[in-house]
This record gives sequence, structure tokens and C-alpha cells, in this order.
Amino acid sequence: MIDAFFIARHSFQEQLRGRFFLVAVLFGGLLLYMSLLLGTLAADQELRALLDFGLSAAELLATASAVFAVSSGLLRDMETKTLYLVLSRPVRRPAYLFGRWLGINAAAFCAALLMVLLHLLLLLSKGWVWEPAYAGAVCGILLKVALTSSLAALLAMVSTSTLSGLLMTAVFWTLGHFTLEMRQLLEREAWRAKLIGFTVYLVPNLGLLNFRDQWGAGSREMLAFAAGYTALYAAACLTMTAWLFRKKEF
Amino acid sequence: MKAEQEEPLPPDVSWKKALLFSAGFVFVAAINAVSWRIAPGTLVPLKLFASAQTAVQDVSLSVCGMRRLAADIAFVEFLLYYGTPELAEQEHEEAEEPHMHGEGGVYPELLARGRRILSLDPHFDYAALYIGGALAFNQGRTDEALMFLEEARAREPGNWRFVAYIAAVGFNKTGSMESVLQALAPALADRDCPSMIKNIAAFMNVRLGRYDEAGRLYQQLLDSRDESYRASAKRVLARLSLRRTQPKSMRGSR
Repeated sequence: MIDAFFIARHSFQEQLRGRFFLVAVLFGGLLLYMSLLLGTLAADQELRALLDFGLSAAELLATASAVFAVSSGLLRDMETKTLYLVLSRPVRRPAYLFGRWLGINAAAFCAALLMVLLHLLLLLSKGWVWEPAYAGAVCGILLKVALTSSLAALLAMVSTSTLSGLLMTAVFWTLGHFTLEMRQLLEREAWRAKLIGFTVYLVPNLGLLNFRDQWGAGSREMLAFAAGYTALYAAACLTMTAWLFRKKEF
Repeated sequence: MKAEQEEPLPPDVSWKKALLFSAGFVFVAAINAVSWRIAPGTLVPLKLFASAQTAVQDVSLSVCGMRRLAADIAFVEFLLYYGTPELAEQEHEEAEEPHMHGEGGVYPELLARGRRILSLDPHFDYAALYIGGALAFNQGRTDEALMFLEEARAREPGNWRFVAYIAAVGFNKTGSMESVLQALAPALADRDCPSMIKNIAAFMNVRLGRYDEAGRLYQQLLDSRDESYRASAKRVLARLSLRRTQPKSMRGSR
């Protein structure tokens, strides 16, 4: 566990120094600035438009930076043999994997929270009044980042390149937001639905964590349930990744 | 030759792998099934309205988990559509169909656009009330307005605003402005009441000679985020204050 913590710290620092991470944060700031335009067009609903655009941008960029770091980092460490340096020490492979995932997520959380802080300043300057639902939406964003990055780790391990890992994660991520529609298709019992039936049960239920779209639905009980779901799903993904990683030959 | 050099994996590994992954998949499927049952969520499956172009836009944002943002953009598009009368007139002239304002000839997409917004975000009260109000009080399409507001109420049965609006639209059909204002009273006192509805209510009050009430509503409109309502309220308030300063004998000539 101590090994995992040290690797997490190193991974966190590596992320903060990374160019992609910086670009993501800067782009997030730029998007927030651009959201002012949409807000102006929305007339009376300016605050709502600013709120939705800002939170969506923060989630998208935090998820992108975490998924990219997880997908590329693991494969890069294997290709550049950096992994040898770590594993030649008495560090167990699962500890390395978990530490790396933890560090990347910590950095992504920091990026998301930084963007959220900027967003809050923008909203408050426009006369927005604090709503507890905002905190629920931010929690949902962080949970989605954690869950998606654990899935990205698993898919990176089964894929042969960073690009294919990223693409597979993107597919699962988009399907994860469409579980409601897929389930409806399943209930209709169409023959096509049977084909996707199994997939529906495997894709993450991201709708459950989407408190941005279900404004005000993020009660404490719901948040606790969503956190439990994320923990279990991420644990399942990371366990399978660790098993694959344990058997991996470099 | 190379294949001979490689050490084959122990025979139990593939079984273990298959077992572990099967267990993992079953576990994930189980927690997904439990999550669907316990927390079905407040969203409804997406339905596509309006054109193919907007359908692509809505689906693209929805698969990214941004349905509220998609609804916001759809509402902005609605405002642009509804705020461009010349375009609607021109299009209609091209179609060579006779029409009059308030008889369904103008802004034929109002209802479809409203449904699109509600499909993306069933809890977007403001948009529902705005579009319902526009259909009923501006366009005179009472039946469409009632149908739309009933659909909105069905998605959110506990929302009293829809009840008030439906009552107001019903009274509007009978031509009783007093009853309309009475039905709208709780909605007008609401912080989130659309500026358009306040503007209509203020206008009705002026028509009924209730200048103080009209003045109060126009005062509220001065804080609207919509420039056109602010400008209009400023104009009417100036007229009302002029009316107060004028002697009674001169008021009739105006």
C-alpha cells in the first residue's frame, strides 16, 4: 500500500508537469470564457446556460485528461521499459497499477476542481445564488472520471495501442450515457435488441452519476449509492486489469 | 523456430483467465442491474423531434451526457427562431399559403421545438412555460398550448406552475382577461416567471385599467436579462408616469 502511495505521488506530479494536462486546464478556462456568449443568447436563462456549459466543459476535459493519461501511460511505460525500473524494486504489479491510477485520478480531480472554482467565480459574478445541487453535480463529475479511467485502464491492457484503447473507452463512455435508451430497446424485444442485450449489462451506468442532467436529484442517499456503484465497478475493472497485468510479459 | 523457443503458458492459465473474466462480467452486470432497479433516474429516453440536423446535434450531446446543455442550445435556437419574424414571413410568402398572425400560420415549428426541448430536459420549466405562453397568448393557438402544457405537466405532475398556466390558457380561450390574470397570479409572484408572461400580464392589466399592478410588473421587467423586455418596460413605465401627472380630462385623448 505504501508502494502504491509513492507511485501515486510520482504519477500525480508527472501529470501536473505534463503538457496535455496544462492544455486541458487552459482549454477549460477558454471554454468557460466562451460560455459567456451562449449565456448572452439565452436571455433570461443566461445563468442556466453558463451553469450547464461550464460543468459540461469541466467534466469533458477532466475525463479526457484522465483517460488519455491512463491509456497512454501504461502502454508507454511498457514500451519505453520504464516499468523495469519500478518492478525491479520490491514493488508488486497491482501496487504499481493502483498507484498509477490513483495519481492520475488525483491530478484529474485537481484539474476538475480548478475549473469548477473558475466556473463558480464566473457564476457568482453574474449574480447566481448557490444551490446544493451544484455540489452534487461536481461529485457526479468526479465519480464519472474515476469510473471511466478504471475502464480505460482495463481497455488499455487488452488493446495493442494507445489509440485503440482510447477509442474503445470512448465507445463505452458514450454507450454509458445511452443505457436508458438501450434498455428501452431491450424491453421492446426486437431481434436487434437481443444482439446488444449483453453489452447493455456491461457498459457503465453513467446516467446514474450524471447529476448535472438530473439537477437536484443528487440527494445524500443517491450520492452514496452512486459512490458505492463507482467503487464496485472501478474495483471490478482494476481487478481484471491487475490480473491481466500480472500475466503480462514485457 | 521462434515458436519452439517460447515457453508455453501453463494449461490452467486460460481457464483461470476465462473464469476470472466471466466472474468479473457477471459482477459488473449484477451491479448494473441493481443500479437500474434502485436508482432509475429522473431522465426519460430521448425522443427525436424537428429536423435531421437537430436530431444529430441532440444525439451527439446526449451521448456525451449533456442533455441539459443540449436543451439550453435548443432553447437558444428556439429564441432565435421566435425572435426572427421577418424570416418566418418571408418563408411563408414563398410557400404561397394564406395566413394571419395568431391563426397558426406563423412559426409553425413552435410546438415541435417545444417538444424537442422537453424531450431533452423534462424539467426545463422555464422553456415549457415560455413556449406554452407564446402559443396561447401571442399566437392564439390555445389548443396547441394546452396540449403542450399538459404534456409538460405529465412529465412533472407535482409542478403547480403548469396547473396555473393551463387554467390561464383556458380562461384566455373564453376571452376573460380578469380570470386569466387571476389564474396567473401565483405564477407571476414566482421568481422564475418568464419575462414574456410578465409582459403579457402587465399589458392585460393596462387594458383593464389596473395601472398600479401593471406598473409593478413593468418595474420587475426592468431587471429582466432580456434587453427587449427591459426597453419595452422602460417605455411603458414612462407612459404610465406621464399618465399619472396629466389631468383626467386629457387622458381620454391619448
